[in-house]
Amino acid sequence: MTAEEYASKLVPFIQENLVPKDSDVTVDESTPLLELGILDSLKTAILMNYIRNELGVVIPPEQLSNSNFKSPGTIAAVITDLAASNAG
Amino acid sequence: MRTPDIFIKATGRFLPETVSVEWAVEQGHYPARDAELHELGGVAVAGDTPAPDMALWAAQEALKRCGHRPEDLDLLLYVNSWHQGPDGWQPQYYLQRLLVGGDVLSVNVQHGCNGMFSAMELAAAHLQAGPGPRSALVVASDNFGTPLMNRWTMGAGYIAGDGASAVVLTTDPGFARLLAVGSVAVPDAEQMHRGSEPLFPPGPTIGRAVDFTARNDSFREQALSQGMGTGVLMQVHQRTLELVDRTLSEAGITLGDVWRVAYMNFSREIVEQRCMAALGLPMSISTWEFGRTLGHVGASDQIVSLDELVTTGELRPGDHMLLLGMGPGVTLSCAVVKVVTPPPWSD
Repeated sequence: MTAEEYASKLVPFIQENLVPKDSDVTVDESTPLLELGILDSLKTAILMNYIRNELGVVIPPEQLSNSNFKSPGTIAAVITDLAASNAG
Repeated sequence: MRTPDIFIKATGRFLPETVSVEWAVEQGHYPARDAELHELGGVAVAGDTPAPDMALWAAQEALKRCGHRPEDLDLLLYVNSWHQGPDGWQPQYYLQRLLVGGDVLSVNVQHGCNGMFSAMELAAAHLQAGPGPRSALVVASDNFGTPLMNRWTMGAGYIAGDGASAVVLTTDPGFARLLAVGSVAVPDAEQMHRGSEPLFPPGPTIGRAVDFTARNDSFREQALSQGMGTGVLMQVHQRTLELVDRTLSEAGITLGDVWRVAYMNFSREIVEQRCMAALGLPMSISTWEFGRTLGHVGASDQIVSLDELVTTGELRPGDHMLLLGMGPGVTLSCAVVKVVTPPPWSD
């Protein structure tokens, strides 16, 4: 899958599962997840479990950096690199 | 920390009667919405039974189960996360007078609900500091049924439970080995558990209640308004996974060798997402079904679960158990225990 395809899966998942119901945030590829506080420790766990279980990619803990998890787009890029290196 | 020569000779516990979440919802103590959201079942409530008494009973059970003489101990570490009795008086004095005597180094250890992990680590180091055989008693106890806190609403995803647990650690062989134990912290998140409350004067001295939910909210608001965001909270999960990896390798095993896992007695979602699914393990090997009926019993959750699994025979010789916890600090703690022989007691 391409980064675009990964991002197209992450955006709806984050919108439905990680954004509080009463929030008016509409998630897109560049939504600043950390600045808006969408990712806390529990929701980071939920997101990482989704990435592993549904997208088939395990993100090693050391890659859980602020820059990598800045937005759905940056996360999709990390997943794409990992998927490529797993396949390579 | 690798603890290759440290054995668990016995565990013990004291748990008061429990009340059900349904009862608490009917009484208006606990919101029905939380009952549905968190799927907790009940909580141990000690009424006016003092925490030091519960600690004494748990310690007596552990020592009696393995026939270890209290006066032979080299160390007593008494762990608590809430007030125990009169200020300025420490609870381990009570166990010195009634159980272990005056020649055993006895110290009060406070490390939130991570206290049993750090006390076991300190005890393990202490036991290896002198010629053997040496032994230590580590006990934890809390009664949260007091003014200045509300067990039902003080924290997100758990109900504070009352009770005590005890572990006898020795350098002489025992029924189980403590293979590794350790803690790490995310200091940038320390304000999560103090919020915007002043450091001085200390809360209890001005009758200020504990409300971790409110403190967490104010920490979050501040982090967002100052543009820092919640990256530091993401580190909590990162460091948790790193600590589990480290502790497993110190214990010389992999996740595949883990037979049971005891996390804190929190909501299903938290136990599943933060612990079990995060490690790629099924909820069926967690102690959630057992823990959801007791509540979050201060620093005792993981040791009470270990005690339950050993006593009921669900954890047998050869089986490994992973213990994991998170607390203020933010502190992450982990340990691996391996059962070697059947315990010297049964149900």
